[in-house]
Formats: sequence, C-alpha cells, structure tokens
Amino acid sequence: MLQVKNLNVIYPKATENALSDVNIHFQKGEFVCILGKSGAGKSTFIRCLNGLQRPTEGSVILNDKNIFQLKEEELRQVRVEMGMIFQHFNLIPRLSVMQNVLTGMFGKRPPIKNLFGIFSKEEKHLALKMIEGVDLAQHKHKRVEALSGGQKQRVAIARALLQNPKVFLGDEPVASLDPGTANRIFQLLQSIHNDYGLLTIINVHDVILAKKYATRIIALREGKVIFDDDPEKFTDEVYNEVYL
Amino acid sequence: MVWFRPKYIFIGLFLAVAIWFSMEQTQFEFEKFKNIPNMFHFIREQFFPPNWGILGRLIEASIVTLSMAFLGTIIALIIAIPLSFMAARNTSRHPILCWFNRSMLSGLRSIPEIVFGLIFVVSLGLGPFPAVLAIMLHNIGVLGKLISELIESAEQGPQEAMKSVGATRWIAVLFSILPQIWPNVLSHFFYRFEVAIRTSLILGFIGAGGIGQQLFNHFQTFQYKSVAMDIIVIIVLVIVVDFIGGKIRERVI
Repeated sequence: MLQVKNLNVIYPKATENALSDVNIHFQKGEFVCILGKSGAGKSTFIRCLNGLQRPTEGSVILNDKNIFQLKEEELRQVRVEMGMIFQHFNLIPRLSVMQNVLTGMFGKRPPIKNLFGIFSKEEKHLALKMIEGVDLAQHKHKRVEALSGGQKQRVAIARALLQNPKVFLGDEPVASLDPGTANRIFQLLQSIHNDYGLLTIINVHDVILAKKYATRIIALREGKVIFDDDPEKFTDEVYNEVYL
Repeated sequence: MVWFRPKYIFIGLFLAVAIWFSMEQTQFEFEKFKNIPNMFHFIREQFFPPNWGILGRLIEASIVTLSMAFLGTIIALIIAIPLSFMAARNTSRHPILCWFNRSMLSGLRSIPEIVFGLIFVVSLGLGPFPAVLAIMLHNIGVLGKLISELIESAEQGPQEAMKSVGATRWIAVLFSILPQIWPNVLSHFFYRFEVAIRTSLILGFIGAGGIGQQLFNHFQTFQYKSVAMDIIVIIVLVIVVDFIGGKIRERVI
C-alpha cells in the first residue's frame, strides 16, 4: 500500500545523512511504531511520508504513485488521505475545538468556502461526531488553549480523522504527555486504527508503548533501519543496539 | 575590571565628542535655561483661562481629525495585510517577489507623512483628503514591515498541520498564521492610529483641516486662550483613543 524506496535525506550544511537508503513496505492494517534515539531520523522519515519533507533522493509510493513526482494539487489530495498528528499538537490557537476540527476538511473543499468558514449542516454534524468520538463533546466550543495536553492531542486526532484518511501518521504524538495520558492516547489510536482499518505509523520514544500496541516495530539508528520485525522480536539486545 | 578596557575609553571619548558637536550645531547653551521662568510666565498670563467658547467648533474639528487618522490607518491596514504576507520570507512565493515587496515597503516607510502631505496638498488641493492619503501611504510601509515580522516569527507547527490536512497554500498560510498574530496586529494598528492622530495635527499646519489647523491658526493669530483650549481637546482626544484601543485589545486577547 505504502512503499518507501531508497530514501535518502541530507539536510543543507549537514555532513551525515539524516536518512540513508531506507527501504520499507507498509501493508494496510499494520500498526507500526518507529523507535530510535533523538536525532536517529524518525521525524525526518515520517515527514517524508506525506511530503512535508522532500528527500534528497528516493521515492515514497502510495497506490503506485511516487508522491514526489506529483503536482501540488495532486500532492494535496495525497495528504488528504494521510492524517497526521504532531508532538506539539499544532492546533490553531485562539480557535475553538469545533473550528479546529473542521479544518480537517479543508483539503476536500473549495478554498473560497474555507476562507469564509462556510460549512454545511452535514459537515458540522460529521465534525461533531468526530469530537464525540474522541470524547470532547462537552468542550466543543472551548478555545483550544484552555484544554490539557491530552485533550489537545485528541482534538488533533479528530481533525485528522475528519480527513477520512487511509494512513494515519504520528510524529511523537505522546512525547509531551504524561505516561497515563500517553497510554490512553494510544488506546484511542488503536481503536481508531481497528475501526477504520487504517495503516498507522507512529514515532514513539516509549518502548513499552510500542511493544504493547504495535504489530510491527521499525528501529532507526543514524538514519538507517537496523530493526524491522514483530514486536516480540524486539529483545533487550536490540534495545541496546538502538539506544546505547 | 570588566568595563575598564581601552575600547570603552575610546567609545566614551567618541560619545563625548559627538555630544559636544551636536550641542554646537543646535546652539544648546546652559545659560539659556535661565529663560525658563519666562515660559511659565507666558503660559500663566496668556493661556488662562482657556477659551471655552470655541469648544463646539473644536469638537467638530476633532471629529475631522479622528476621521482622517482612522481612514488613513484602516485603509493602510487593509492594504498592508496581503502585502506583508508577500513580503515575509516564510510565506512569500518567490525570493524576488519578497525582496521587491520589502524594498517597496521600506521606500514608503522612509518618506515621512509631511513630505507626502506637502506634495498632495499642492497637487490635490487643501483639506483632509490629501492628509488621508499621506497617512495611508506612510502607514502601509510601517504596518507592512511590522506585520511581515509578526508573520516571520509565527509558530511553524500550525502551518505544517494545515499543509498536512491538504489545504491549499494560501488557506494554510492564512488559517495557521492570522489567528496567531491577530492580537499583535491590532495593537500595532491602534498604536499607528494614535500616531496618525498626532500626525494629522501636524498636517493641519499645512492646510489639511481638523484640529491641527485650528491650533495653527490660533497660534499664528496670537489667540493663546484658544490655543490652550485646542491643547486640552487634543489631550482628551489622545487619551480617549488610547483607552478605547486598550479595551478592544483586551477583548480580542
């Protein structure tokens, strides 16, 4: 479904590759966790998947098309199919939960309607359903600054879900949350994953969470894939190799 | 001692020379301060009591002043917002376009309102209209620069999120940046509005009407009690605008 071929990223002025020769084939229905030290290339990798980062070399192939050869308009449609959440939630400040979630629809609507914030009853209803799905119905009119970290991430999840994505990407989505909240976010992501039949790919620092929820673990070190297998095979030895 | 370095002695000497030179140029002499009591005497004898009889006319004139300042700054804001998105490094389509916009904005900014005013009064005639244009042009430059700096320092995160939902470029930029910078845009706007009120007083001196022209006329014809009244109205006007601006900003944040 989603294939990464020979991906290389070298940042300007850097001497070492941020990613070097990464080749991965993702299947629908997989819940993939990507592990690795800070600076191992996890973020760079996941940002390449929806074209937020352009690689120096290589391709990301979604449904037989290399996303880096698409025109801007086509790339937008690819991004609609890939929901993404972030470490710092990246919500739009000063807008309400509802308004933030509604922006998840922007990729599918004419820009002029987006500009004036014109949403049909059905669209608002759908957004509300997503907000209920992440258990924030009672906060829907609150400004997002007023929410806790976990709640903010759930708003971001609802926003991404409103895109009706096939792929769900997470760039360290629980790194700034406490362990309990992080676990609940992963539970939510897992149930969404199962309900929508997604391909989910998430960067995470917490090995325990990865082993608990992932169906496949990929570990990066210095931009190279050094482990790509079932979570059970992620042994202490592999752990040492990844982190020490 | 950290400050006791030859470099600092040199800087100190340089500043002392610069101050002395500037005092020579401006005939700044300490013995002139002995004339200060004359000023108090002048104000006490000539300015009081203020001429309350002209209050009605002054209120009318101050409404003209307010309108001049408001119209000039609000039109400037409306024009400056899109320009500043084109002039900010992170949202401009192309480095050349960015550079062109920046140069244009700094060009506008470097020409004071009074210069625009003098040109427009001669070419377009007396009255508030040329003053509105003068205030507008200068403020496009000022607001454009300030807003483009706000845009450049806006958080990147929301912009990435808007890209990743597949929004078109301009919608992404607008939605992720404008809400972030809006309170600061408003505070710049109110500050520039306040400055524009003071500017329109000066523009009144060259025939742009409003309360500035009243002040100038009264001063030129030695009607100091009316001048006193003009000053009172001007002070009240600035305070009121400042107060209202503060209230609106509070509500927006």
